[in-house]
Amino acid sequence: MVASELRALAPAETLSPEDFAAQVEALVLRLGERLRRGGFGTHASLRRGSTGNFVEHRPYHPGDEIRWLDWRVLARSDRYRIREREHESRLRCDLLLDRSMSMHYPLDRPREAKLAYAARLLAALAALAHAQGDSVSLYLADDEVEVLPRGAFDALHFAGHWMKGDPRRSGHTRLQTCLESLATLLPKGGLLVLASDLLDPDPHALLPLRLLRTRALRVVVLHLLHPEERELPALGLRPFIDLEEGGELLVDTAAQAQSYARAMKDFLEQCRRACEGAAVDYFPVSTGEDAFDVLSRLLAELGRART
Amino acid sequence: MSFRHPEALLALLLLALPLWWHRRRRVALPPYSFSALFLLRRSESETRLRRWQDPLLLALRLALVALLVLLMADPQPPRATLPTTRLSLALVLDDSFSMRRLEGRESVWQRTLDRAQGEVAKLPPASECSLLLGGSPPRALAVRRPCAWVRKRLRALATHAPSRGDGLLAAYRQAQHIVDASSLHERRVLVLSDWAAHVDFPTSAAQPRQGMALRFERTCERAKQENAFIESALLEARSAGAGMRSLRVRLNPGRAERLVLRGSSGFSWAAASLSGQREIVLRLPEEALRAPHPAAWLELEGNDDLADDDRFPLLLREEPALQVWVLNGAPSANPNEDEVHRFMRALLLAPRERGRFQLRSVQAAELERLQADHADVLVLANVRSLDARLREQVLSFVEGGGGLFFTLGEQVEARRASAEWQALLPARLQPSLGMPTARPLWTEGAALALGSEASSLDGTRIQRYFPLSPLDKTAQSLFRLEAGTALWVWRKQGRGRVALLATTLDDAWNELPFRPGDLPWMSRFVRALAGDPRFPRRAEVPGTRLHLPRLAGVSVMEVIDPRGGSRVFTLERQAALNLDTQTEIGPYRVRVGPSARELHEERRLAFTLAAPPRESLLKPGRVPPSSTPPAGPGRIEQAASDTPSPYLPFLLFGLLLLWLGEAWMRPKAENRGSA
Repeated sequence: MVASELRALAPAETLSPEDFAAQVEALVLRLGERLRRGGFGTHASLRRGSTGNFVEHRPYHPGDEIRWLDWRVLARSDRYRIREREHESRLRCDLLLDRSMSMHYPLDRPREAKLAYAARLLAALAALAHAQGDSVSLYLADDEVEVLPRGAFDALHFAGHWMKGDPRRSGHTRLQTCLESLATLLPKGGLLVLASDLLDPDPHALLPLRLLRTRALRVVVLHLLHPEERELPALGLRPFIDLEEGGELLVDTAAQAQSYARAMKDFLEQCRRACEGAAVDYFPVSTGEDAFDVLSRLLAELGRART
Repeated sequence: MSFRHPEALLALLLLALPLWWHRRRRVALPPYSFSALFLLRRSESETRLRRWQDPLLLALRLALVALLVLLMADPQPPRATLPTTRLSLALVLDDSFSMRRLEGRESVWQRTLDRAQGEVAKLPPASECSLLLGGSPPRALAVRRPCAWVRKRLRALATHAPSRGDGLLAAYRQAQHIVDASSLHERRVLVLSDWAAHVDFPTSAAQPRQGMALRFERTCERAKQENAFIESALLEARSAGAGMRSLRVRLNPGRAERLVLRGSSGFSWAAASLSGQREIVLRLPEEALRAPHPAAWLELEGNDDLADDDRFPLLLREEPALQVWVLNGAPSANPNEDEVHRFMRALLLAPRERGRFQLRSVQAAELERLQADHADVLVLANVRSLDARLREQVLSFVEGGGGLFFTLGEQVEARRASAEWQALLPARLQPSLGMPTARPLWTEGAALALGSEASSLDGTRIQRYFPLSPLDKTAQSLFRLEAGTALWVWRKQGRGRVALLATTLDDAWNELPFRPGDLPWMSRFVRALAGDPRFPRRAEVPGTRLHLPRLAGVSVMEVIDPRGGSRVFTLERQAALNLDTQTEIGPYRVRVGPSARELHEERRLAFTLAAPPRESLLKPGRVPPSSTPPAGPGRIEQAASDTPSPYLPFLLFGLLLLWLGEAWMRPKAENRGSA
């Protein structure tokens, strides 16, 4: 069976934008309440600037403004030192949603699909960031990266664009290509949140994460997996069809459960190592978890500065 | 265990059906779309062998099919309990020509060998086995040898073409002697044959000796009676018109539609359509007789099970005339008074269908060349005496196959002739007697059959004769006088024959030359005296002992069989080459010469071997009764068809159990979506 036939099998009825927006709004409301109670810390700018918060001294170089000289130090020690302060600015937040075909799993239950779950998380994050006054950009990735227009952070708009990730239109996961093109696209600094199942057979798919880190970006990888991906569903003997490639494999789930669990464990470990190697925050998420809990944990994690 | 319908076991191929069904059902399951298939592929190799869903259900279905097939094949209990004690078995195989016939794709001979192999294989270890062939002459190929050795000989016999005539009875008796001499307690004789009508085996011969089991089995299934074959072919000596000759063919036409005479190069010399005739005359041009190699084939066109007798080899050549040498003891210028005039005239006027006579009146001194010039018959008519050297020549001539005819007369002195020809004469001569009233009578049962001429010769007046007394034990009387005294006697001497007429050859002492039956009788008698032709004439059957005379100046003879195989013989002192091992049907060429390098074709010595017509009669004969119940296939089948298989209830019960098990497991498997 080819992928196009498989996509035709997918139910045409998916989550409506309105339902999706309502879910996100409810999520944001709960998160906002938590924010107001001070549950999370604020984030600091990565750039030095002119605010009052002292950061460090550095030697004077020709071209530096005279007004930033620390006169007290000059008077005491006759040395020219520049007083560096924090630069307070709007945080740039980039959200990348993997909308490849594998994210539609399970295909017959669109409300449980990883894509819907990831979209909910990102939409909530976008709404929160927007409310905080940060700059938000949204990207959709499968074969290539699609940049969503400004204002799509609004849940309804986001849902409208996410709906473009209809199974019948989705492509293959090309993480490496997408991350490489994103590295050239994004300006230096900021936060990049990547929501994907990382199910790319290419073992070098996550290598470009290092490239993103060189752009002074803080990268958070939300690795989404459905519970039935972690453990094979008990289906007996069934022909399994690859969501992306369309290949067929006759699987005895009872007989292969253990070996699959081992393969999945290895895969997760491989992803974790790849992220740690690139100094990227790795955040495994099961779609069976409550999205609120996940986001709470994520925001708490984001509140901590990465060492 | 054996099966009544072993061909039904082929249905075991149906076992593939449940496998296919199981797999097909499995593949028809609704597909499940999955995202991490590449991870599953990594783990697939570990579980490839464990992917049969519901193996118990599959096994039940396979067993169900296998049991059904077994039921169709109808298993039977073992045919016979294998003997556990050592025994001595003698196998007698009929290798007569009729065993060549095909049944299906297999010849009866091959089937016989297979049966014999099976019987030997069943023998307990350390048994002994004998193997005899019932062809003519019967041959013992193995006498109380180990079974493995006999099986090897049986395998070698697969290339043997049976055609040796019928000597089954003699072989059977020999087998009885062999088995009887065995030290083993249990003894058996198994005779395998097609038991066609030609098999000369009286039922009374099938009497087992003490402690011996006899078994007679027919190794063919169908009784074939319609078989086309050519019985004989005779090229008539006289011309059949301008440049044409007649070939008289006797045949059993069967379903054959056409008879064709083909030369050795495949050229068709003559042909005739058949419509049931048993004798047919083909006319062929005389050019056919002048072909370099005279071999030709008569062929019956049509199919039957025994194809080898549908072709009959023959030699298209003039038969050499019988050489009759006459030594006249009382020659006369007046033909009416000449001793041999009427005799020679009778031979010259004899019908030429059976061959010509070449008469030669010789002097005594010429007898030295009797053998060198290939004389067939020597007539010593009223010869007083011959010197010892010539008598030796004559004796040698007779011993070598020649015919000698003594006739008496006034020149012959009884006592002297008896003394001189003691080694040759079949009776001692007594002084001649005048008996005007004596009349000869044909001796009933004489070796030489008398035809229509008997009536005309009976009662001929004999005026004078030499009483013959005593007669040699081997001599036979052809004519006797009313008083019982022998008048015309003959006997075999060496390979030749000697005849003695106790009166004159002419009409001086008797009236025989005046009787109308004298002429045909005399020609028949001289032919009989000549015996077997010096050169091969008629087609012989395989296994016949042939004597090819050694021609003057010949030391090496090469015999080339129909397939082109050559055998070279160097002759030292032999007067003839004796052949008896050839079995291939067809024309044989002979090349002769003083040495192996100087051989030339000798047309006169060429000979043919044809299928024995008697053995082409496939009418089934009677199988002698076995002394123990035979375990042959036919009897087993008959017994098996009468009684139901003892395994039947168990098979049906097993079938029921399997069916119930399958019915119980199927819904569960269906619920799991795998059946």
